[in-house]
Amino acid sequence: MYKSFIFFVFLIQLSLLSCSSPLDFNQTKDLVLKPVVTGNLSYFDIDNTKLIKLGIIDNQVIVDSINFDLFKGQFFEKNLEKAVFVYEIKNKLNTSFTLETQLIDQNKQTLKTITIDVPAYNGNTNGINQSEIFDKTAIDVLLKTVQINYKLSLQTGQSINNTGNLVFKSYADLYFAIQ
Amino acid sequence: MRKIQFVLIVLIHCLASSQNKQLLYNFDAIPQSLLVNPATAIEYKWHVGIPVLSGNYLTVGSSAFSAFDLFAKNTIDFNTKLSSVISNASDRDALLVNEQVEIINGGYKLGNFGENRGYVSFGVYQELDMLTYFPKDIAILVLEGNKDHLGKYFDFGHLNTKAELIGVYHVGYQKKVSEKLILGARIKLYNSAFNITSTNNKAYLYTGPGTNTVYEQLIYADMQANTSGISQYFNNNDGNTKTKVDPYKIAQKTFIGGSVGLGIDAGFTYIPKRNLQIAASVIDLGFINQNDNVKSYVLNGSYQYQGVNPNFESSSTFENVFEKIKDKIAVTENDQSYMTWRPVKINGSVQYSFGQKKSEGCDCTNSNGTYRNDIGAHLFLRTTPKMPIYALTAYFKKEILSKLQVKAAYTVDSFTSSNLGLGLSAQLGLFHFYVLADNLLSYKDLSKSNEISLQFGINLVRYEKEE
Repeated sequence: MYKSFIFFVFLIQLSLLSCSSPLDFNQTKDLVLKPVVTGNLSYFDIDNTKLIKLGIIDNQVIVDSINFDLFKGQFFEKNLEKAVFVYEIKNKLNTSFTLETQLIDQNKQTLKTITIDVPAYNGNTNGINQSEIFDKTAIDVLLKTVQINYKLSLQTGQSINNTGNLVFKSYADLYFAIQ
Repeated sequence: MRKIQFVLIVLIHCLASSQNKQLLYNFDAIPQSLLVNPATAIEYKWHVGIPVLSGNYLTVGSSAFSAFDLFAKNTIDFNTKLSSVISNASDRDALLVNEQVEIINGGYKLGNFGENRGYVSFGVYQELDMLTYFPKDIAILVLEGNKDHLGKYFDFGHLNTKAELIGVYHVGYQKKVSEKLILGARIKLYNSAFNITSTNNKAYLYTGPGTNTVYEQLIYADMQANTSGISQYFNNNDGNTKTKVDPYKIAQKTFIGGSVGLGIDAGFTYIPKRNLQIAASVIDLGFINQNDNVKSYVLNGSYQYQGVNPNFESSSTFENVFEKIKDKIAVTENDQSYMTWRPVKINGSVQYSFGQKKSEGCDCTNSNGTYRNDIGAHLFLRTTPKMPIYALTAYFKKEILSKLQVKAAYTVDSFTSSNLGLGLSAQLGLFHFYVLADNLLSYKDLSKSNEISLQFGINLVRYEKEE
């Protein structure tokens, strides 16, 4: 029976002498999550009839304001590293436009104006693309934005004299660094 | 001369054991085998365990990754290691933790020597059980975002988890109903200290090429998370302040004052011939009515996000799209009781015996027809919210000397395909002790193992008197 006792002790010792490759659990401190999230930003499709009805020829500027407080809050303040707004515009009107996107804070102050010159239609259906990058200190502008104003105007001396439409699409890529 | 085997059981076993307990199953020299099959063919007069010291079990199984995969001390950046683990895992991979502490355990044979009136066993134990599936798509979304996954439906239904802490009171009975058949059953009263269940979720997040807008973006959610026994520890909207976590009160709540349920174990051992045994059992066929401090969270709704879009028709649209999303996909709470089913364990085995024992005092075979060697196969299944966890074992058990038995087992299961186990049951003077070691091959590097287990104990057992 002492043989069985020795075998019993051996198996216990086996568990104590088992090997393990070296592990370091402190590595979790190095964890940085860097997801890139993309999503729709804004869209409109406006034709010549509507533009005239809205008074763009008479008033030269048409405006709309949209609530936009997505970036308010601690999560974005702490983790948003960079944002890129990408604009795609296709203009089928023989008229050039200026589109201004204004980022407004809670005191109604304009933090930033993004201006896009939209050339008149010249047979090229590809449209134009423009990007706006927000990083480092420019991120602050986004964090304070609560409203976006869209201002669409005819460029000097322009008029609408054909049938067509202006299509505006935009999206945002948000780069996070979450620790 | 009548030999009386008289030993008290004092169980001191610790460390891990495989949650499917394949080495313990039908190992009739070990009283705890009654909790794996209530009809195990035991021959005790009585047994008892010392309170709290009688049994501690812990098993951890991970089919997705090992500790080495994430935490190896090397030059590879932790974020790279994490990315690799997520890339190689699937939503069918599971992490299982099961821990049991036996508070008391005992049993005794009814009637006098030679009478067949059955054997009663009873006890109390505590169990912590957690099963979670790898939330693959959620992990990809958190790690990488959706930019590089256009056209993919991120399936939030991958969130699938259950955890509970319970105390179990049980009484079992077995009887040899005929020369060939032993039947056994056990009634269990469950007391749940806490439960968290979030299974059967359906939700997705989709970003793909759009027609009008740049993207088509869809959110759909039909998700629920039920909790009982823990809401008092969190701030809530009812205005009640949260209760401080008190481990003593949680330990107390494990055995009294929680949500209550009932369950049964049942089993049989059929011996059609002296050297052939067929056994099967079903364990924890039971439920708990979760009604203690219940708080359930329901996320329901759908939305197609097209951006924040001006129409120029009024000077101030002031539509808040993000508030609209919150309204459409809202989290609601309720405190309705709910029912949970315990994970059911099913065992089945076939065993063939050979090498008849010789009687003492003569060079002749034992008239009882007992054998020194057993070979067998054992199948184990455990129910889960998805596919059952399984284990298929081939084993060989041998009585080397009187009261010294060794069992070797090779198991293929949901976590590993190379589980080699070894068990020993022996009697030394007044003491009966055993050691069961699973996954012996993993001992060369535990950090790379997907499953680790070891269990040992010292018992004192009184056997039925022999004439």
